[in-house]
Amino acid sequence: MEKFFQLLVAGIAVGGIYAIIALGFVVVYKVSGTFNFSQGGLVLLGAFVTYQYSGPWGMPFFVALALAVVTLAGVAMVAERVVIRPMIGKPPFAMLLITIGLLVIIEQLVRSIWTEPGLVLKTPWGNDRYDIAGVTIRHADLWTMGTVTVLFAAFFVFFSRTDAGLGIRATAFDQEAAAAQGIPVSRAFSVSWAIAGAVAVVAGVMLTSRGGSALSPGLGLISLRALPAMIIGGLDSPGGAIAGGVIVGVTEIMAQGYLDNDTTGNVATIAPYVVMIIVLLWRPSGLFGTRAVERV
Amino acid sequence: MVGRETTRPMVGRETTRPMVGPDATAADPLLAVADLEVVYGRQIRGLRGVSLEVGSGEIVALLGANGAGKTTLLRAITGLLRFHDGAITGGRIRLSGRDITDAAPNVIVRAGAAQVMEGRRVFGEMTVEDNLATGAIVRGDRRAMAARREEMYELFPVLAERRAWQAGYLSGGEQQMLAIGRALMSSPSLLLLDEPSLGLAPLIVEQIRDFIIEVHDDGTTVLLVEQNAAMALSISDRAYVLQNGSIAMTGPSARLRDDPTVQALYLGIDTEGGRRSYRDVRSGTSGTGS
Repeated sequence: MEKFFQLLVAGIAVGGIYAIIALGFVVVYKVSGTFNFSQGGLVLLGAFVTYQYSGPWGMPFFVALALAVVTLAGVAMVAERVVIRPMIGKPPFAMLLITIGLLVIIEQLVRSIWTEPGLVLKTPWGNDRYDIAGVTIRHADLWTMGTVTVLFAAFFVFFSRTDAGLGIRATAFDQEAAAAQGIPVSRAFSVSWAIAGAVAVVAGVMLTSRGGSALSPGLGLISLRALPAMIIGGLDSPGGAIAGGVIVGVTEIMAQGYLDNDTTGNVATIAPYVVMIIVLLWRPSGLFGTRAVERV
Repeated sequence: MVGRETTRPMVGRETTRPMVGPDATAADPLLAVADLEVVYGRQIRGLRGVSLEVGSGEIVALLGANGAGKTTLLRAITGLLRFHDGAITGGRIRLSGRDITDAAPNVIVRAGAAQVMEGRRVFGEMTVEDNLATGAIVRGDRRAMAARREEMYELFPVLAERRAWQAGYLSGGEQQMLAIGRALMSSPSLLLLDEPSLGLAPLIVEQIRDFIIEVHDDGTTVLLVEQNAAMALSISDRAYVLQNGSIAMTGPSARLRDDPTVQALYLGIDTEGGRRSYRDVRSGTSGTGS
C-alpha cells in the first residue's frame, strides 16, 4: 500500500508537469488553430536558459527562473511574429511542419551552445525527500504540485477576469468577429505564444529536477509525452489539460512501478498511448474537447 | 415589445463625445466615403467608385441584392477586408473628418464606428456577460465597461435575464440583440448594421426595428444594410441602392418608397399588376444600373 501511495504522489506530480506542457499546446492551438510541436523545444530551451542564469551567471535560483520565463516568453513571441504569423490563412499542414522545423532548430541550437556534457541544474529542493509513514515523497514533487496549482489558478483568472484573456478567448472563437469589436487580433497571437513560452520554462525545470537534475538535450522529445495528455483532455480545453496530464502521469508511473520489472519491454512509455487510444475510441474529441472535426 | 413611447433612462453616452444635431450634417458628415474602389483577390472588383455620406444623427439605409457590394462596403469602412483577401484600391473613407482608409479595425472602433456583422457572430462559447464585455475591451476601462453593460441590460432586458447563458444557446433574435449590445459597448457614434433582420421571424424583425429606432433616439447614428427594404425604408431618413458595386440610386427614403423601380426590385410591389420574378424585373429595368 505504501508503494501505491508513493507512486500515486509521483504520478500526480509528473502529470502536473505534463499538464503544464499540454497547457502550452492548448493555448496556441486555441488561438492559431495549429498544433505547435516547437513547444517541446521551448521546454528544452527553458531548462537550459534557467541553468545558464543560475549556474554560470550565478543568479539566485528564483531570479534566474523568473528571468528565464521572461526570456522564453520573448523568444516565443518573436518566433510567432517571424515564422507563424505570415502563415495565417495558409494550409494548417504547412504551419504544422514549420513548428516541427522550429523544434529541430531549437534542439540543435541548444546542443551547439551547451556542448559540455553532464550539466546539472541545481534547484533549492535538490533531491531531498520526506518520509511519512513509510511513504517517500520527493520535495521536487511537492514543489511541482504547488507550482502547477498556482499556474493553473493564475491561468484561469487571466482568462476569465482580464481584458487580455477575454480578447484571446474571443479571438480563438472567431477572429474576424473579435477584430470587429476592436480587439487587436495580432496581440492575442503574441500573448498566446508568450504564455506557451513562459509555462515551458516551468515545465523544463520541473522535468529536469524530477529526472535527477541532469540537463538533457532530449528534453524536447520527452516533452512530447504530454501529447497523449493533451489529446485525452481535448485539444482545445485547458481544464482537459489537467485531467489528461494527471491521467497520463499516474498511468505512466504506475506502469513503471508495477509492470516494468516483470516485463522486458518499457510498458511505462507505451501505457499513456494505450490510454489515449482507449479514450479516443470512446470520445473522439477527448474528455473535454469541443466536439467537432479537428484539423491537425 | 418596446414601443417608441416607453419611458426609459437614456443610455449613457461618453461626455467627451460632442452632441451634434442633424443640422451639422452639411458641414462635416460623420461618415464620408468618396470614390471607393475595392478589389478581392487582386482581380474581382467588389466596389467601383462608391461615394456615400452619413450625417450625424441620421439613419441611412443601404439596399441592394445579394452580391451588390453592401457587405463589402461595410468591411471597407470597418477595416475587415483583410479577412477576405480584399483591399481598397482607390478612394477615401473619413469618419468625423479623420481619414480611416486602410486603418486597423481596432483604430476604427476607437474612432467611433462599430459594426454588427451579418449572421450576428456572437462568441457562442462565452457567456452573454463576457460577450458584452468584449465590445468594451477597446476602451480599456473595466469599471466603465461594467456600467455600460448595465445600460445594455436596461436596453435589452432579455439579455439581463440570460446574462450567465452561453451565447450559443440564445435564440436568433436574442443573439441579434446581443450582437447589437456588444457593438454599442464601445459607445460608438456610428453603428453599422449588416442585415439585422436576416433569418428572423417577422415579429422579431419588428422588435429589432424598434431597438434600432431606440438606439438612434439615444443619439447614435445608424447605417443600416438590409435586404428587407420595406423595413429599412420605414425607419431611415435617406437610402442608397447598390447595384453591381456602384450606387444606382439615392434619395430620401420616403421618395424611394414611392419609386416604381425600387418598388419592383426591392419591395416586391408590381405597379402594373400581377407578380413577376426578380429576374424579369431586373432585366426590364436595367437602365437603373450605373
